[in-house]
Amino acid sequence: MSQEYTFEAFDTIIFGTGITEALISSALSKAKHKVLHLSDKKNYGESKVSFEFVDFIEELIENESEEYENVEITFNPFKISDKESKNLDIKLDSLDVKNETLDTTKCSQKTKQLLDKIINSSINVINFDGVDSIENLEKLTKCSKMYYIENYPVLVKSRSSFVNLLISTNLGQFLEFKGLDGNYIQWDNTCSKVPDSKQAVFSDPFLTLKERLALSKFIKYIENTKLNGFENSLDQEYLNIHNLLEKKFNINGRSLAALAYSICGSSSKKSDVLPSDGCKSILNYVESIGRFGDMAYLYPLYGGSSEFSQVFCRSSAVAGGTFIMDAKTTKIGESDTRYLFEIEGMLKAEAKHLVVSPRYCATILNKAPQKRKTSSHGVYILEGNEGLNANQTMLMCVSQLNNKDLENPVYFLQVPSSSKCCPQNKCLVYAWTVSQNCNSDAYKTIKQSFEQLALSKFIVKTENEDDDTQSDENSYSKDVEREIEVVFSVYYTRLEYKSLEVEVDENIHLPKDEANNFDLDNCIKEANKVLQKINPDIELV
Amino acid sequence: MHGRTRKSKEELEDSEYLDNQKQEIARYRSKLDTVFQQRNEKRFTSDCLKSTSELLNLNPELNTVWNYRREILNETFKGLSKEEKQQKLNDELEYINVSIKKNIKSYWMWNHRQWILANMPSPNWNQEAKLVDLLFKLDATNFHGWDYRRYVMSKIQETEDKKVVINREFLYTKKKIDQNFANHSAWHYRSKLLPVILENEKESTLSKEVEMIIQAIYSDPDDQNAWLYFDWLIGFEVEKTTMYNLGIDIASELLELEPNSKYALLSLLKYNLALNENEPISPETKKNYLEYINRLRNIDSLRLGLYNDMEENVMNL
Repeated sequence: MSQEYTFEAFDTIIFGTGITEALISSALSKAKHKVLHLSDKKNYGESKVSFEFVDFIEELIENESEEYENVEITFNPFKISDKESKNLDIKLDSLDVKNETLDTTKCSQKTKQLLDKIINSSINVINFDGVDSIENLEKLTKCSKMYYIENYPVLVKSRSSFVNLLISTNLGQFLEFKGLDGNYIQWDNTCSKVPDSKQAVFSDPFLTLKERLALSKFIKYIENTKLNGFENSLDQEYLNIHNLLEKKFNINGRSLAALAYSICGSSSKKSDVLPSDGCKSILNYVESIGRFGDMAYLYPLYGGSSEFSQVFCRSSAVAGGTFIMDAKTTKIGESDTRYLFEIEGMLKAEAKHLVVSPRYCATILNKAPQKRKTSSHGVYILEGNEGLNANQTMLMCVSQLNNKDLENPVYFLQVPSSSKCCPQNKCLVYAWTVSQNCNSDAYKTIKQSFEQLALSKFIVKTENEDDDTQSDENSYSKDVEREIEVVFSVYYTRLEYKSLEVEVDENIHLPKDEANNFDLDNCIKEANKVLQKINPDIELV
Repeated sequence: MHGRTRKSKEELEDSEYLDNQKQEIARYRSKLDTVFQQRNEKRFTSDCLKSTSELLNLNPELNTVWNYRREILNETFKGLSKEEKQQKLNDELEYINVSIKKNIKSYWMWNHRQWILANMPSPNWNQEAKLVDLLFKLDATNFHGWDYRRYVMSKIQETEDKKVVINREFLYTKKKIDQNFANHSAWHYRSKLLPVILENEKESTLSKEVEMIIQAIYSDPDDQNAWLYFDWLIGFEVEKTTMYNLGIDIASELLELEPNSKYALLSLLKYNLALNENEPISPETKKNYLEYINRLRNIDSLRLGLYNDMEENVMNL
């Protein structure tokens, strides 16, 4: 049924609210371009979004096979403890929930609806145990609005271009961050701090003298490159960052894993992290230490990575940009210089420029880009405030069981217990792994690593404020009996659209989605590329 | 002062800024005159105390005024009960607590703090130790803080078991070194505590210290602290030969991995010379020494004069 809509002309229409698109939107609006910014979703962030608990489960169900695969969900509480450590096998007795007679009489309407959706979906529910599981789910849905879950957690470095941009645009005032308490590497059943500074090298209890010297020389090398720049020959002489660290600096084993995984985000000895890029990451990391807190990484509070997009979108709206979320858009015409769209129930809009994030290419350009599995994830809600260790906000990197080649690290991020990051008196832990691990068994790999981590000994320097002078010389080695109770866990593999690799009109811009868990600086590069094409005079700041 | 941006030339020449400065100076001058006049008249009233506060807020570097302040306080203490005196000094401590934060490196304020505590009928030294610890959270290398800490500990030792206190402090320095092993003050304090520690467990302590030194040297061969601390360790030994040999071993081992380590070369030379102090040396050894000096000249060209001097001394052996 055709309907008469108002007609409005814009300079640019932007599809998708990813960080790159948000940056472009903000810069264009501030430069007095007339911007229409559309999203077919309700939340900001495009592929990196935060949801309240119920919405998160619904997101996984509704977009299964489109954006998520291999979804496995457990809402039956289970314990991991030292005593049962010998029995690590994973129970795979996935029960068919549909055949259970569910006693939902005590449930709230919200839980019942969610349960219905879960049962009628194709996602796997593991270890379902009638009453216990339902009671547990009830608890989580009851306070659903009190915390959020991210489908792709992002950390930023204190001195990254992205943080600098937040400061120079004055948008940092609308965000809150928590500096991480620690960056850990799990090695030989022990979880210890990454030796990332001279001081950390000195205090590290595991390093041999030669390892100390090798690391201290590398750190000095990185500091010098800040003054003199990187050698050009680095990328010709060495295959990747692993190769550089091993061959040039004689760094092996735990130290190598710590630097390559926990700082450079490399995934294996065959990784494609170039030596120069790896060194730049490490330099940026080293520079970031001490800018805001003792650690390099910052975690965004009150909304996670969605906030990154939203803060730039909001600044675009303040500068005059028009935003329509949950919009159903169809292309209704095209001339040499203009594109015409109809937004259902709202308006007809035309514009000269289009900025289209990969997921919208199919509907807007009739050219569907390929999808690929990019990363596999786990989300855990643990009972109590302690979490995996001492209520700390920390990043932990687990190298694979019995894997001498140091392949496929799994990352764990324990987020702050305040600022809506966790349900009350619980602790939220995100897990993820990239590339090769993204098969249907991904959740097994993550689960194995999680259990490995849960049983690890944490070597933490205790910074107890009160009994400062009483501390024993070896008090940094903490060996406590551990028991971790998991009240909810979910695993999934993410499907993301590859950027379209075809020729398009010069006024259609296709920014790539290159943000990763440790770095948003690529978004700035992508945004700048697009802005350059639309109008070379417009800059991000 | 650290961490303060210097005013630009334009800012310094700005008329509004200059006017403000003039007024500030006039205000300061008049306060200064008031205080010195009161002092000359030997007045010790609470009003006088107040005017010293106002003046010291503007400039804490006037020790004469701090002295006058103490004279006033001593005068007001006359005829007071212990409790009243304690109360007065508590107020004074409160005043210095606020002021010292503005200028953490003023000798006179630390001196005044010490005076307050020393004159208190019931001083709380443990409270002071905690305060110093707080200061170290901001700047763990502030030597005023370390000086004051030593003073506080000497007082605590009057009532507590000396050995317990020293042992606790020894652990404390380790903790500070673990936080920043380039903290010279912490290494220095540790060396001051060592004699008492060594009275009990000499062998095990020394070997632990040496282990820590080696760890620090390999974590940053260019940091002087650990090498210096080793020198201090030698000082506690009567029989120094073992220590010299140990020093030579540490330096040679590091040189194998790190041929350009300045401190390793210097140590090698220093301990060898000390070891053979009163003995004739072979031409071979002399040649070795000269080679070390040559290498030092190449890696540390800023101190050519020093190395030339060393060379001359070796030649004359």
